Amino acid sequence: MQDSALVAQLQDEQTRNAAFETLLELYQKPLYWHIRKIVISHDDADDVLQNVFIKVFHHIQEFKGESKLFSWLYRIATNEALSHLRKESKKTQITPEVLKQQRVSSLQADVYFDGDEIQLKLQQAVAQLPEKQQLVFNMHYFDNLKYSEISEILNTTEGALKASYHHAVKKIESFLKER
Amino acid sequence: MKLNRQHNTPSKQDSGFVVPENYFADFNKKMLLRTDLKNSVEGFSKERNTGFEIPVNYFENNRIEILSKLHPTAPKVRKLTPRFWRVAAISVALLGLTYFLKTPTANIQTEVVVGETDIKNYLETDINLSAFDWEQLLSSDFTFDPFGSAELSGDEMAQYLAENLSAFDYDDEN
Repeated sequence: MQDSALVAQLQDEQTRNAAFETLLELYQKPLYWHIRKIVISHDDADDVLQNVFIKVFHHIQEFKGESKLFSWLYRIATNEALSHLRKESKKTQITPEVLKQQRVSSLQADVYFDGDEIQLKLQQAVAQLPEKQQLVFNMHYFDNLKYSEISEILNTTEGALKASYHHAVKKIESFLKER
Repeated sequence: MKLNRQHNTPSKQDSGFVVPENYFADFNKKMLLRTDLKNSVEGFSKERNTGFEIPVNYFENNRIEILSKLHPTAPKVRKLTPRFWRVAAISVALLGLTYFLKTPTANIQTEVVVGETDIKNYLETDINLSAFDWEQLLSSDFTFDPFGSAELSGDEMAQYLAENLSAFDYDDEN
């Protein structure tokens, strides 16, 4: 279904519910994995994902079609995930970066992590990066998003994103070589 | 010179070279493994996932949970419209009117039967009367006469007057 058609149905009270189920079907998985890579914990990703869709349902009228629906959803998911990390980190009086590193350190004992040693080290490497570089790396490398798509989500120029990605890869390589 | 075009049989080129049985079938598997190891040595592979896992049927359950939060199944409450209330009020008024019109006033009991015990209990809360007085009050022969006559002798009358009248009253000279 075309973006515009789906949005029109979502914004129409008569067809909203059915259209919303379509939206869930299309975007539930990609949004979940995007959120999961930010918050690490499955339970947190579950909470954030639900909040995202509930927010989308209640605020769909505010979507003006200036960007793609997909970009809008991704942006909401990104903001919700980052807000969640900040909220959680405040509870223990540490920074969101430190919280994420702590979570990644305990990934091996996580029931919902089945990665090998390399995957674990990669997650640890990514967690060392600044927030923006983490997002760019995850979206481009794991989610296979184009720079043009990431640009729309993060509201950053493609040039800046490419530079960000380049620096991220260098730091990851350096991290992996040291260990 | 004839070429061997049967690709699914062990190849026997004109050169006379042969390959082991299932060689080409196993070749692909070997190459994939080797590529995998190579990538492990280098660091990471783009084809590999993140290692994150999810519970079984997570996405289906999550979908149901989201939908139930947005559309909770509350018990159906029929909203009563203003028209309903109007009709209900008129019906009640008509019923009430019908009842009062049909029922003769003589049949409406207004008397309350009060027993002697009830009267006694009521009066006992406020009025402190002796058992004799209660007997008198409740008796049908009782006639209330606050000025009931009593036969007094001359001495009794003199004593009463002495007790109740002051010296001032006696003194005619004042």
